[in-house]
Amino acid sequence: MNTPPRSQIIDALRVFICGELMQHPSYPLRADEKLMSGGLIDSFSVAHIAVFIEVTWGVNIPNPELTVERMDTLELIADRVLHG
Amino acid sequence: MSVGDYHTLIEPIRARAEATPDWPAITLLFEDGTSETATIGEVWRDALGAASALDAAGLCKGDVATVAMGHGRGLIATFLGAVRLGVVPALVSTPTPRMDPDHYRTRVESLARGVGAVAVLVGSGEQTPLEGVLAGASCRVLVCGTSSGAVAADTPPAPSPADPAFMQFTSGTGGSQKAVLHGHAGLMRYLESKEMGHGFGPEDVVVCWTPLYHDQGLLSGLLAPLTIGFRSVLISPLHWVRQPAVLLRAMHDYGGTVSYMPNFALNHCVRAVREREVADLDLRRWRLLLLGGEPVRADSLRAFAERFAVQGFRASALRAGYGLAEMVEGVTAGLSGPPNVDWVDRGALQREQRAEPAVPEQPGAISFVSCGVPKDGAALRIVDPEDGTDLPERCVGEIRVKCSYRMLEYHRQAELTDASFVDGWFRTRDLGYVAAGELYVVGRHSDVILVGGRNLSPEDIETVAERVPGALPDRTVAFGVASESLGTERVVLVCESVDPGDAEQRIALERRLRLALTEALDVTLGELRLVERGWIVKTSSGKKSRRLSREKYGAQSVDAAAP
Repeated sequence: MNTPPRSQIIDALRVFICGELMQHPSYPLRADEKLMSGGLIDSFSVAHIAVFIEVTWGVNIPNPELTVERMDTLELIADRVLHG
Repeated sequence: MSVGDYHTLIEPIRARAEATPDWPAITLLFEDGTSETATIGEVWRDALGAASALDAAGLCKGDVATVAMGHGRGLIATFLGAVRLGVVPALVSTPTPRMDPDHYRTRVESLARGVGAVAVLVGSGEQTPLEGVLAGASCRVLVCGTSSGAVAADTPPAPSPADPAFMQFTSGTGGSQKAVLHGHAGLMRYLESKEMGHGFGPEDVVVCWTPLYHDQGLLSGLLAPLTIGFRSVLISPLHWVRQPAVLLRAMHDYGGTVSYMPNFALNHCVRAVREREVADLDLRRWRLLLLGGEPVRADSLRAFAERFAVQGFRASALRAGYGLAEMVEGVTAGLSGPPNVDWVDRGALQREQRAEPAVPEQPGAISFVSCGVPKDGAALRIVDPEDGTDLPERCVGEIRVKCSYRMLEYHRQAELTDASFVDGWFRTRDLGYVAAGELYVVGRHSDVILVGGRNLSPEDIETVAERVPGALPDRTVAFGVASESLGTERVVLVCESVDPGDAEQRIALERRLRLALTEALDVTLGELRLVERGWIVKTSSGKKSRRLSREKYGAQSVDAAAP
C-alpha cells in the first residue's frame, strides 16, 4: 500500500482522533499536542489508533511500540506510519 | 479437600505446596512476549521469603503496609508474605506513564497515613522505580521482592481465622478512598461460596488481566485459584489495554476455562482486536466469562458473543454479577448463561420507579441485564431508601445486602462502618429491582462515576478542576454518562467560566483542565462543557446537585441532537 504524505496522515489521524475517540470533531488538535499525557484521550485509545493505522495504511505497529511515549502526538504517530 | 475445610488464606496454599509442590500454579505473561510460571512450591517459598524480609525489617503482626508494586512475582510474594506474617497489606496501583510523580507520591502518602501504614512496600526493577518516586515521602519505603530467605513455616505463628487478612481501597481516586478491612474467616466463607457457585475444579484455568489492587483481580485472579486449586494465568492491565487480543490468545494457549472482566472490556475486545490476531484461536474450552465491577449491557454481551463465535466462544459462558468490595467481591451471580435481559418501560421507570415489562427493542423500552441470584451466604432486599421498608418485585429501590462474608470494617472509620449497616444490612446506595428472583441494577443513589470498572469520586475531579486557573471555586460539576460504544461511562465535567464565549480562552482552559486531571488522577474527560455562570443546578439549600445537573445535561444533549 502506498503511504501518503506526512501532512495527509496527520490530517487523517486528526479526524479519527477528534471525531471517534474524543467525540469532539471541532477540537483544534495541534500536530505536536500531547494526546494521552495531555488528557485528550485515554490509554485504551492506543489500541484503537493501532487498528485504524493498520486498516487505513496497512502498517502493523508491534505491541511494544504502543506506548504513551511513542504515540503521544500526531507527529510521532505519523512518523511511525511513514517508517512502515 | 474443599476450600471450605480450611480456616485461613494461608492454610490451603501451604497444604497444596507440601502435597504437590510441582503443580504449576501461576503463569505471568509479560509485554515482551515472555512468560514465567511459578509452581505452588515456588509461590509458597516466595511468600515465606518475603515474610522473612518483612520480619527482618521490623514489621510484625497487626501492622498495616501499603504495597505499590507492578505486575510480577514480587507483588504476589510480598502480598502473601505479609498475610503469612500477619502484616495487613493494602495494595495500591502503581503510577501510569501519564501521572505526575508528585501527585502520585502525595496520593500514596495520603493513603498510607489514612490507614496508619508503617511502610510502603515497593518492588525492585520496576519500569518506573518507585523508590525514587517516593523518595522524600513522609512514610517509610521498603524495597521488597522475591527473596531467598525464609521464615520457618510455623514461626512466627500463622494467622488465625479471627485475624485481619488484607484491606482494599475502594470508591474514589484520591483522598476520599475508604479502606475495607477483610478477615480470614469471612474470606474463606466467600471462597467456599465461589467454589460451590461456579463448580471450580482442578481442570479449570483462569486467565485474568484485572489488576490485583482491584477486588476482581485479587479474588478471582489470584486467591480463588490458589486456595481452591486451579491454575491462574495473569496478564498486566497495561499490556491488555494496549493489546486486548493477548487475553484471547492466552485463553487458547493455556486452555483457559474462566475469565473475569468489567463490561467495557467486552467492547474493547470487539473494537480493538484485529482479525488476524484471533483467526487461529480455539475458545471452545471457555465455560465462564463473568462480568462485574460496572453495569453490564446487553449490547456488549451480544457484540462479544457474535464477534468471537467463530473461535468457538459460546454465549452460554456469559454471566453477570453484582458485588462490592465491602462484601469481598460478589453478592449475586447468574447460575446459567447468557444472562436474562429484561425490557422495561422507560417512562414508568422514571415516573413511578417501577420496572413495567415492555416489548423488546421498541421505542420507550430500556433493557437491563440480570445480575443473577444471591450467592450462598448472601441475601438481598430492595427497600425504600427513605424509610427502609421492603418493596415488592419490580419496584426500584435501594439494594441492601447481608453476607456471611462481609468486611470487618472500614479501617479506622468506626462511625462510617456503623452508619453503613442497618440491622446488619449493608446500604449499598445502588438502585435496583428484583424480578423472578433475579437482581437488576438500574443506577446509583450516590454520585460515584464508574469508568471501566474503576470508581471515580466526582468530588476529587471537581477539587482538582477548581484549582485550575480560569475555573471558578464551587462552579464545576462532574458526573458519569453511559456510552454505548465504550460499554461504560464517560466522565463529563461541566465548568462555569467567566467568558465561555471566547473560543481561544475556552480551548486554553480545556487544555489546562484536561492536563490537570490526567496528572493528578489519571482521569480522561469524555466531555468538557464550558457554560455560563448559573448553569449548574443547585438544591433549595444552595448546594450543587450532580443528579439534577446530569439530567439538565442529558436534556440539552437530546435537544441538540434533535433535527
